[in-house]
Amino acid sequence: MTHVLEAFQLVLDPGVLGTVLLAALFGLFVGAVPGLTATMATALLVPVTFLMAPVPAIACMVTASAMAIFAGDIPGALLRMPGTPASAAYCEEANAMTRKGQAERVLGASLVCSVVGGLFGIIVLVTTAPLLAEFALQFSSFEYFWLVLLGLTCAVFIAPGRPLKGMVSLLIGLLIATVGFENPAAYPRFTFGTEALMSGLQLTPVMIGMFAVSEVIRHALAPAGPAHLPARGMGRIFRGQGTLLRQQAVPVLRGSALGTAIGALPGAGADIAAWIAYGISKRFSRTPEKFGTGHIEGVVEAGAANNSALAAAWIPALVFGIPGDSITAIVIGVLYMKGMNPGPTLFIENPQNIYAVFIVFLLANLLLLPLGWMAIKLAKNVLRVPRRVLMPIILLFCVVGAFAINNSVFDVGVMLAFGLLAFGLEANRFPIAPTILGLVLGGMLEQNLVTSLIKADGNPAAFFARPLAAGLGVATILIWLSPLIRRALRRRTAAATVLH
Amino acid sequence: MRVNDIVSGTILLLLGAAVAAHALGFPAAHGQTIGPGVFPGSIGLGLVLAGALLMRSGWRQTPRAPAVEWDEGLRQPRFAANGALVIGTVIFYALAVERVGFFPSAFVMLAVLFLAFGVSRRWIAPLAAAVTFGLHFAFYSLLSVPLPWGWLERFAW
Amino acid sequence: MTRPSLAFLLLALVACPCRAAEYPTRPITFIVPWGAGGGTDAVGRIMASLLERDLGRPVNVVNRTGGSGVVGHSAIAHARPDGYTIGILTVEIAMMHHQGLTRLDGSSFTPLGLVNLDPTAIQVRADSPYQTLGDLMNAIREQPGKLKASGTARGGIWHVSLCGLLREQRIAPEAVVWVPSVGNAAGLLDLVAGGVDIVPGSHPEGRSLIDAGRVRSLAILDDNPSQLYPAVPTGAQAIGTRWSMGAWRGIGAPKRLPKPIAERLQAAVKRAYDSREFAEFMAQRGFGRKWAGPEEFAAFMAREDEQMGEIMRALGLAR
Repeated sequence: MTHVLEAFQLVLDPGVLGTVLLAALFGLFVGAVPGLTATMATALLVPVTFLMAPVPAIACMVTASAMAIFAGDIPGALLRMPGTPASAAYCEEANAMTRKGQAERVLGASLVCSVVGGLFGIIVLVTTAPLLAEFALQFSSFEYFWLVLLGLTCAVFIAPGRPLKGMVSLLIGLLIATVGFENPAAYPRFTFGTEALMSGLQLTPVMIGMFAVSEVIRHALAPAGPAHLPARGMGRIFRGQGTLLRQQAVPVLRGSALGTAIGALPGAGADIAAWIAYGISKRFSRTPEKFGTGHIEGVVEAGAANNSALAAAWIPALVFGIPGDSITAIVIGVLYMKGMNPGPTLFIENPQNIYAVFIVFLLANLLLLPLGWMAIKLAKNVLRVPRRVLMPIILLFCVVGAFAINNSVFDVGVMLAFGLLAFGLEANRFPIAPTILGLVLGGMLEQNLVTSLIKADGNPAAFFARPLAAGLGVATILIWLSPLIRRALRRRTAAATVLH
Repeated sequence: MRVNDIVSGTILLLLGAAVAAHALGFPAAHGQTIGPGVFPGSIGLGLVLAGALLMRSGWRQTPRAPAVEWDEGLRQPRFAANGALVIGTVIFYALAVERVGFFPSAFVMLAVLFLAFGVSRRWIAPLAAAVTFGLHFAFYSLLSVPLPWGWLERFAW
Repeated sequence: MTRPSLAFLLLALVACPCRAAEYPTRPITFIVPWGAGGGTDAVGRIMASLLERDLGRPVNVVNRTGGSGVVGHSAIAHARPDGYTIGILTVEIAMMHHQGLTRLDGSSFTPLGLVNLDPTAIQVRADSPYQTLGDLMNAIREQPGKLKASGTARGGIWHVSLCGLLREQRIAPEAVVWVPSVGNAAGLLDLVAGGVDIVPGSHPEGRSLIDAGRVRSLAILDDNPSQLYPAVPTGAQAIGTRWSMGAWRGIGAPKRLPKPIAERLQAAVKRAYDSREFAEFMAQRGFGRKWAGPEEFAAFMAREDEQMGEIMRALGLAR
């Protein structure tokens, strides 16, 4: 108990609190700018933390990343341009609500669910970290292979419109993911002899291109588009959120649990959690036909999932020093720098520091409520700016954001190319969300398939040899076959009624 | 620009075939049963299949949609020019920024687009300048993104 | 001559960094070819901050990622050789040109000093039957093709290093099946999950799982014992091998750097390396400190290059 008190003393220091506040504002800004991700927010903080004591150093990374993941929803909802890849899954849905004049409702819900999801993840982190980390360590390439396949199935669920067109978009995404030489064979594919393409096409410039640049091109070509976005209904953000939370308790909790599980797995982070949560939400919804038209259900589930994944990613990081996502990969280095070596000893040798990290997590998520509210209030002004002024500014943000990823203009070119591709795809009613999903999961799919086969000496039965892999495999196959099975069952009952 | 399913199916079929053919040429990886060509090759074949299915559905559609339909925006020269300007200014920025520097390239980009989108003339210059400086402060000073100085190297801060 | 133009001329004279004795007169760009937040980034940033103090001018770190290090390395190599662009070089530069992925190699740079070397260590699962490197080598000899190893991409440093060890032990490199992984952590994870049997890698990379008692380090392939785990036997102690290879980092500049500037920078890098701050930082992160001055660094890179080339050709990785 003394350790907990010590931890509170460490955190409730004016200097630490000030740092947390600054980091929060920084995270909100980075998350809200399309093209700057939560990972980048964390990476940018590394040099700053060189000079700090351990607790404030970790505190500012925790706070900034939590804020950034929520803030990514804001441009997603208002402008249909996700601020971070973790918001891409449900950005069209959220924007559809804005266009119905429900911007306040969707952003408020996404804020509240982010906080709930974050708190859920923290509670799991505090209570069952060692246990869950142990579970995560059971995952080898066989289990990941099934998990990725399960994720890809979501593409079929999330794509509105004709399934064939969704499939084409997914294939394009998978194809993009094969570019470069970071594949199991280490052979440079589709690089056309350029050095810049060797590590492949990166998610962020492709995403900004496909969502934001295509939108700017569409605006330029729209002869009679509205001068303003619908700005009505931005009054009281928290009104009705309690009722909503009660109504949507199942999706919110399911999203939080799913996000925690996926976040705790090394190598799968908030982005994948949001996609899978959105897919699951539609799959199990009683009203799946409403998805894509501005329906809150998928937004709350995926919005809770990405924030809970963020906290859960710390589970393997703190217990075994294994990064749960790209953010904790950076954080682990900082932990070593500050003498807080991750591993079981961390909980024994420096318990006050680890409790302080937990307290910071709680604090950051509670701080998200007022600061998120403020951010939404500020952001709504964007809707008042005439589109003819807004669009060029957004384009410049995109260009600078794409440049900032690798500090190279090559990515600006990538962004433009994918902007044009997305414009063409959408004009022809091909959904773009599956392309992003394919790009996110394509590399993982090939990596886990090939390494599994190498390990099994080419024997496909090995995909069912481990109990966990067999369970995941059977679940995936059942989900695929469920429409067929249901149809068969229905035919049987129909036949039975005829007979009787 | 909208094309019917026959045209988009043909494009996908050709793309898939090209990808598959190229992937077949990848050398096998020593010690790996699945070579680097297998995965992209199957994606290519998937695209061929999807393309063929699209062509079939386009063929069966009645009444058949015209091969190519231009959006209203693309048919009106003014809006088509605006679309070209969006693409053009991004290309201009990408080519100019390293040599000329961030300030002039960003200013030109914004000013041209403001003009094209019909922002009132006397607001263009001050607005473009303010946004350029604001963005530079946010990215260069706060986020320490090394935006190129170009011509203004001597005034770098 | 009119007065304004005279003033301009004077100004130009003052502003012109013509004489190397005045170097540096403006901020220096320090290129890191890997992403912010990683190990190379951390070493680069601490070096940059120490150089800044020594040179009296800002040294700005710029992460030029992409192309698995190639893009950043080529940005250093192709920068103007005026001392205002330097950067950190990593082991990949001695490897990637053998695979035909770039034309750059160690000789494309002016070496300023090697600052870090993490030798290969051989890790197995904690409950693995192999207690010593000798046990492991015997098992590989007896059942070639049975054991599987992971820890980096195909043709990555740890893959090449393990194959080098096997060759030196007169075992065919194919006797251990290589399972490619994205980074050493992913390989270690697969080791713990029971997917592979051996993970070669550096001690700082294996540190957390070794400390957690999940992974056992059998030996470190170097002349000196590990700085993190001095009790782990060296290659010579374990099986009498002198084979050594590791991941290294050094500071470099573009080729044809004027001699006075090169000397100024080399001295600054040496002083930064010798500083207490650097030693403390490296100890915290568990990175191995290793110094080689400019000439030795160049010779070191040439030697590494040759060794890597030989192994990669034998493995069929070279193009």
